[in-house]
Amino acid sequence: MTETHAHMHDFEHHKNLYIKIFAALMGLTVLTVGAKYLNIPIVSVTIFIAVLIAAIKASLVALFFMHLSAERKIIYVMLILMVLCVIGLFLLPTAMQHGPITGTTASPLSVAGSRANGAGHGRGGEEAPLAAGTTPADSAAEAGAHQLESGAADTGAAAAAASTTETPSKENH
Amino acid sequence: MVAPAPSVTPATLPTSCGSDVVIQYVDKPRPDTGVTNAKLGIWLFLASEVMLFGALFSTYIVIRSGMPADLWHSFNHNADGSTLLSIPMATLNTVFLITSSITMVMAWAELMRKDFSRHRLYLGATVLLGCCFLVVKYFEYGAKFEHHLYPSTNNFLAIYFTMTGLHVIHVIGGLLVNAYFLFPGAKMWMTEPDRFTGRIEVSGLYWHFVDLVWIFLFPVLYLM
Amino acid sequence: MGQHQSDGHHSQGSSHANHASDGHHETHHELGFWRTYVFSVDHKVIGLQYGITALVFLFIGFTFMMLMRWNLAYPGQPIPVLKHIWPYFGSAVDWIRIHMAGASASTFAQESLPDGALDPTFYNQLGAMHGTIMVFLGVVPLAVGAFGNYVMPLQSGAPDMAFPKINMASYWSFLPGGILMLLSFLLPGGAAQSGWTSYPPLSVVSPGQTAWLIGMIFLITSSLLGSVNFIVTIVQLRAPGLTFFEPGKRWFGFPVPSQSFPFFVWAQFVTSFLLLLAFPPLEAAGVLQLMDRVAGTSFFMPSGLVVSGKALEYAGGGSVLLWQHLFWFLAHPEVYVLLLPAMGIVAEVIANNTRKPLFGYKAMVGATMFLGFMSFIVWAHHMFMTSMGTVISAFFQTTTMIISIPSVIILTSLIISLWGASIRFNTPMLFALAWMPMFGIGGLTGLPLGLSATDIPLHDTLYVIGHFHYVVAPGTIFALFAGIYYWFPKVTGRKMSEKLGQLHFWPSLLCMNGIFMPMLFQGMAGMNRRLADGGAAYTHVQHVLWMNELMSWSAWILALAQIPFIFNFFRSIWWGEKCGDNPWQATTIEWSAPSPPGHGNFLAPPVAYRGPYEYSVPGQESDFSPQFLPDSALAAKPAPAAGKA
Repeated sequence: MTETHAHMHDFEHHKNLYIKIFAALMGLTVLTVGAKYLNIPIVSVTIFIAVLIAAIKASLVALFFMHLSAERKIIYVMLILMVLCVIGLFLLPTAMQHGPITGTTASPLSVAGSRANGAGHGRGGEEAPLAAGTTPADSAAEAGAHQLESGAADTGAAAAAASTTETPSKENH
Repeated sequence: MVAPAPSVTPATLPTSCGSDVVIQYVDKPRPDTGVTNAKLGIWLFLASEVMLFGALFSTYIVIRSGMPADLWHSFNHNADGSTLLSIPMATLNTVFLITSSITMVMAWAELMRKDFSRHRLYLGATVLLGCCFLVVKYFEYGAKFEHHLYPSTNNFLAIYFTMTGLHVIHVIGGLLVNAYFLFPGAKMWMTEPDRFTGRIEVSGLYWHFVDLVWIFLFPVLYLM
Repeated sequence: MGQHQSDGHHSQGSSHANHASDGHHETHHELGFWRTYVFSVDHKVIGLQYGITALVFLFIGFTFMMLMRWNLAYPGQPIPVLKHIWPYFGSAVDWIRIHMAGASASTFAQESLPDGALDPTFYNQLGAMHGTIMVFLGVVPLAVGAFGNYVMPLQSGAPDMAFPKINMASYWSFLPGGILMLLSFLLPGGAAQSGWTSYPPLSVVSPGQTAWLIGMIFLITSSLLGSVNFIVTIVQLRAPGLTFFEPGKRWFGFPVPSQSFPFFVWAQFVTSFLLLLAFPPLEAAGVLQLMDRVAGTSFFMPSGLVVSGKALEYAGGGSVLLWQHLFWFLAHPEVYVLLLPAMGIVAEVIANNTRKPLFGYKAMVGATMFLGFMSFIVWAHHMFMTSMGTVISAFFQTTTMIISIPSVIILTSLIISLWGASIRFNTPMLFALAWMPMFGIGGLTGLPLGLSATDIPLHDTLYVIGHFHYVVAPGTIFALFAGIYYWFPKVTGRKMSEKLGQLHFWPSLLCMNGIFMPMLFQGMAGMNRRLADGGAAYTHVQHVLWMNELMSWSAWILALAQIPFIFNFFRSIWWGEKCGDNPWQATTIEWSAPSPPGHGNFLAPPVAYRGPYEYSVPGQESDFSPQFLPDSALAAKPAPAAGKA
């Protein structure tokens, strides 16, 4: 690739191409911002349009600015490996789609035996192995998951829980 | 079992000058792979970066889809229905980054035709535009803090600050590298022009990637 | 390969890198001590730095475990000897905490070993740091950082890594991360105590976790820099004649590996891809958890969390399971990061000591690549207990069962390689042979954990601990020991003692099983993991409690069994039996370099003329035909050609 670019007439050709791509990127930016101000009532359509335009823009940058349109085979092979792993990565949210995660539980989940801060550790006795003698991280986390899943997912409850934690929360504004 | 001896002849002996072993293919591509070491290296690094930001986008999906839609809406909109984050500022930043991408690629193209002074002009413009991005980001963050909107406020702001913050760190990294090639690193052009061109190309690939991440961050955080 | 032994540059020790020996070098600048041994860019010195640091960390992690094992065998009883020393150590820690870490008061001795007995919280810290140190600071740096760095470029015929300075940066990012992990014990509140898995919400609210997370970010950066370097070195700097695939050949559409690279290089190649692509999600997760701790975000904090009767000041709305997904997305490939280099080492040692070509080399390489790919889509088999739903569980069960196939292909190929061989039972070979059943047990005990029905009773029991320790302790560390004994002559020019090696091997094999086999039984009896009292409070496991003592004594005897190794190691550096460049009469390219290799590695640029395991080739007088010798050299000198000193 290096050699092919070295010629002068190639330079003019590439410069024109880059300017065209630049114009396209700018145009698409205007389009995506414009689509936002259309205020399409269906959220999924908004998301679809925004992601579609972003994907087109990203492809333009990758293909022409990063020269992926004319790259060596080894780079493609490597990127294919990466894409396979990215697919695996996006399996992750899919694997997690088993119920809302924001819903609060009726009775707040308490973590036995953990210490909120460094000071003042309470030590549990030997007769309560799960309380002190262990790190019940796994069990606690899993128990949390179970509880959360069964919990109601309504906004009101979440908002109420958020306000009890005394943290400024946007929905209270 | 004995395979035929390869027809390739040994390459020239990597000579050593005491302190450094000479590594091959730093300036010229290896014939059979067609790439230099640095180019393969930066693509591997970018693949890794894709996984880093991919994990964050995954997190975004998990956090958002785990939340009722109106709760999410209440997090990223003001009481009057306008968006919490400033779209004009982000659009300005998009323009800055896209423009810096084309100046970056031009800086490389000028080097390819051995025009060093115009290369510096373009590279300087890239650095300048990157700084503009940071200035806008500074005001954007400042405005949020002024209204007592912190990462801890809610999970929309948490993911916003985390993703843009990590992106800003990447922008700063790219700026430092480009500034190095603009000033102290530029002297390599005199001694090893091919290697220097390769370095600008590699630095450019990274810079385009930073732009590419922003291209996704912009709609995901501001427009959805 | 002859005349290098010249100029008496065998200055001992493990770092002889910078001796540009012969007349190849027009100029010869002596680098100072710091550039030669500390901030070196030479892959061999960096490999040794990694190796020594990793061995020290392995020792530290092992020490933690020995302390924990006291409390498991004799819960609540004061630790002999240590109980007298500990107060002095404690007051030193107190001084550091008060004067340097800003604590107002500290009673370390009282917090950790009150009256000489292990405190459960301190037990948790030791447990968390044992796991972290062994995995991230011990085995991975030794398998990848040390063996990968030292051996891989030599086997690929490269003069150095592709990016020597980045290689140095990799080590100097690893070391601060490791030191930070250790220093976290000195922070007020102590070290991380939520296990090496750091599950939230407990990890987010426990002290010490911030240091753990920052340390992890250093370590991840280090492995990222290393993995880029490894892949580029293998692809770009390999010697002429070394190829990946047979041109134009296809097997069901897949490229066919060519008999060219040693299996160890393939293993490092795939490992590097795993590190490159699997670690970033953990880095992301680490950043998110750091945000939770430092900036007060709620990525992993569910709403309405109450700890010790106090509502936490978190906005909530996060997902604890998100951490587990992100963590295991890394941590399953991580298992193969531990395993693949070990398999590579074992393959080298077995081919060399059976004096036969590896059976099924191409299948092994193919299996390695398949293993690497599959390891990205099995992670949720660690999470069957998190109510994923049957469809998702079934998916991950299936992928988990599929991933066992390539492991079995590799193990079976290695076993069949032994068939009909006249085996040389030297120390590396003993460790390599013992590796096979140990890894076999580790792998087979994993199958019940990969099926969700059988995982439910076994989850979070000592069975899990027994399973993965079989995989990573004897299953990996035995291979690493084999590697140390095998490549020691290359690094130092001297052999390690066989007698001491055997004295190291046999008790180690016995004690490893003495520690981990009872865990499987205890786990099946229903004993939970991470119990500071070793299950003494559980009525249903009383009948297996006696095993605790057996396991603890095995662990302590295992420590004693390492004394011959340590003695052997240091003795052999200076007084070991001198040997030539190729004492094992091996075929791969690293044995063509001088022992120890100088800066730039080879005296002449190496070329691979044939496959890596051309042992006992019919019609050849010598029983090994090195990769690096042309046919003419073999024809002219059929007797051991490369073994001269």
